[in-house]
Amino acid sequence: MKRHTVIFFLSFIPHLLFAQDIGGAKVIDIETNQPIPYATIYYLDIGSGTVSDSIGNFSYFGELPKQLSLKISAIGYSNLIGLGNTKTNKVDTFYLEPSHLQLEEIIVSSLGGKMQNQTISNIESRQLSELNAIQPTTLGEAISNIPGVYQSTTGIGISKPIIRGLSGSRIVTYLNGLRIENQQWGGDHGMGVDEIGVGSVEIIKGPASLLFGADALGGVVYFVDESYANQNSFDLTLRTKFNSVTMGIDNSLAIRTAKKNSRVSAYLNSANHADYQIPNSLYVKNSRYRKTNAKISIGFNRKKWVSNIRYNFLSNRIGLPGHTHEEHLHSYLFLSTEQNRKAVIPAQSITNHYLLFNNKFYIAKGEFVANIGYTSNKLTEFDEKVTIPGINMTLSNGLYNIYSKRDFRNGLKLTGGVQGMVQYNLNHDNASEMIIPNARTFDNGAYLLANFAVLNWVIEGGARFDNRIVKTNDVFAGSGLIKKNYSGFNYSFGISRDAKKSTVRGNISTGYRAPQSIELLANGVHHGTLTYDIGDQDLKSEKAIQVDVSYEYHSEHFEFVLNPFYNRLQDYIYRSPQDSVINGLPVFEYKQANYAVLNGGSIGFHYHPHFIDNLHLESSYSTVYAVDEIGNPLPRIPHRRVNTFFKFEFTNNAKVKLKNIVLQHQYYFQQNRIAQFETTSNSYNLVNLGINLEAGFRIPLELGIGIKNVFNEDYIDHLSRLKTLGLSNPGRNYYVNLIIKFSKSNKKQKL
Amino acid sequence: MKKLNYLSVLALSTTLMFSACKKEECYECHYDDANGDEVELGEKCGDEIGDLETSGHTTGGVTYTVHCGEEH
Repeated sequence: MKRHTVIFFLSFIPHLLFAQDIGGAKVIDIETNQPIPYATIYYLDIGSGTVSDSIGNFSYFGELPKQLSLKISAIGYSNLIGLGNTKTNKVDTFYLEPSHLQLEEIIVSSLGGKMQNQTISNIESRQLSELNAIQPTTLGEAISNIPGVYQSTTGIGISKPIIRGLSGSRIVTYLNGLRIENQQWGGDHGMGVDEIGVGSVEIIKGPASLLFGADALGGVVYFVDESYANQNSFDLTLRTKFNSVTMGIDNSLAIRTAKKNSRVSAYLNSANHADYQIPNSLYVKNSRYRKTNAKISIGFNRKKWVSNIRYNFLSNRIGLPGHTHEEHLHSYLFLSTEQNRKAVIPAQSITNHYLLFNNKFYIAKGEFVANIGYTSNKLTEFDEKVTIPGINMTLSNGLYNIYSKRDFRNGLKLTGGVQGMVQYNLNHDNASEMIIPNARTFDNGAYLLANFAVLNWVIEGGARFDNRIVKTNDVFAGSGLIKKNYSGFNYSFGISRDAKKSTVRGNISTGYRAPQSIELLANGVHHGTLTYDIGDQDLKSEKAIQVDVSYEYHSEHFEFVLNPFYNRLQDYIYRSPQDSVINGLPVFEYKQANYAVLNGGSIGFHYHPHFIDNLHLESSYSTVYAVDEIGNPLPRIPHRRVNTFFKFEFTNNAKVKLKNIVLQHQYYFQQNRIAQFETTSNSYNLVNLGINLEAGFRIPLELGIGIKNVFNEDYIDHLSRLKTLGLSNPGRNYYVNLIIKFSKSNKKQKL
Repeated sequence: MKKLNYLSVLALSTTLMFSACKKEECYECHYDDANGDEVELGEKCGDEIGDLETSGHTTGGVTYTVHCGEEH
């Protein structure tokens, strides 16, 4: 018996030694047929990966799906999306094409990863590291470098994305597939996402209700967390940032570790910024802010199941400039010769919790995905008293998105799913005012999407039906209990052709946005904007239809993009200033126009001259022209803009080396197409400079230094909420960004 | 040993980053007298602020509304 037992256990030794190493692959240069060493292999569904060895080989480890989607990248080569066969002894070979320009990124928001050139609409995908070459102060500032994307700001602490002229509740923000709800109707309510742990961002410009549901009328900002550590490795990153214009310090810590089948990433961040300085050396009173963030992601995989649990915590206290008891307003009332960071009022306090549990199951010829999430946004605004808030609300959301994808032999893929949300807005008793009542919102939608790819062509179309029910819980401002029911049918159809040197896309898409509680039911003081807002219960849903075409030319050294659009919004809801005052504040009413039209586009190029191998010149021009039904300009439409980058990359093997120097020039044209009660905004130039260094010590360091607004230009952006107070945007800003990274990799895979 | 190093760095960084633990918040308070002149009450902390903001400041038989935490 003992002998049999020994044999039984011995029989497992080969399995233990080799079974976990379940296949291998090789990365090869398609032109020279030579192996590519140290290529990065990223397992798309798992969120982790590995690195090829010095002769281009790598192995699959752990309990991986039979067919594993991979993104393979290496310096000097185009990214490649491929399928790894993890269950055969055959060695996969992946061929990378040499390229000086990194043209295509992977698109996560389009239900399963695909390359940009395989999408039927022009989705912009950017790595945060790329947007951070000149260190932005906020995430909003980082994404506003993308053509067609702008930010509406209240000082530095509050930034809201604007896509092709639309913002607020017409833009939906996602974080790893979790819809972020944070009272985004408010001009002073920021994006609700901080940069810690975020790896990339995708911008969908225009209506996208087919995949993202109600409200995705103007576009979607989709953030994707950075990957977990590579399999069997550990890293710890410390980062500190300093900005002279706010004397702001921003510290963060990231720890990532991954085994074969499980992974954990954890992040902590804390920042404290004093009042910002304007070009005349004065400081904008109470523009200070501080924030604390934490994030943890846990992932694990089995052969037929990949799952992630992600939790985010964010706590902000943001000063609201522009407070005075004086009757006659002048900008000097809001300026100081001293810079201060002590918390005073008026101020906004925000506490967010985001929880997401996503699951992907591999089924025959397809996959089944079930994502469920919860978000909580507590917004407290202090206006006149530090112990009694003006408004104090918690917005809670339970969210689900369940879909199934199936591949057919002839290149057809079908995706069908259901998506929805249960939302509850609760006013806390300690607040002196209520701007919107306690109310529940129920969203439910179902969609079907077909994607057909043959040769260089991709055709994609789909339809979706949504329903939103809004119910108040209490009598509010003289109105009885209300229950409203809205429905929307949306569709999208597009076609793209990707040839060797060009990509052409054409897309028509629709979106709908049911009126939000604030637009239906508001009747009170909004302390953040110092206005008295009045809603209208008879508002109808907004509907949008957009035609978007794009042409891209790409060669080894040159890329050119042209992307015009036309977006028509039926039953356009707007906030109309009234000739009256309540509680000493100007009154704004929500009204509805028959329609509004926004059109424009962007044009850009990326040139990498053959004779100066390390130079990149990238420039884009963005414009939006927006009118209502009688041809009047819409309010808060961004300046036309030219955004140009010169980047010089250095290549040497010195221990301390200059990585790159980046010079940015932005020219904002005068904005003289203005709505009633708006004033024009002058043109302005901004020049920014960034220098990035690397030190290959035992503990590697990265150092970024730079100057923003080099020439201390005195300007007020048209989208600054402090424009009406005559308060300038920040002046010259010196920054330092230091990153220290400890990492450890187990070369020998543990069994 | 290396593990110990990582743990030390982790503990140290966390301590440094979050060393500013939550303290009782204090604010300068004032009221505007009958002539509209600002009268400083000095720095007040904790519950005292709540009491002043709720009940006001009484002097000479007159109760004035108190403002705290404003910057001038």
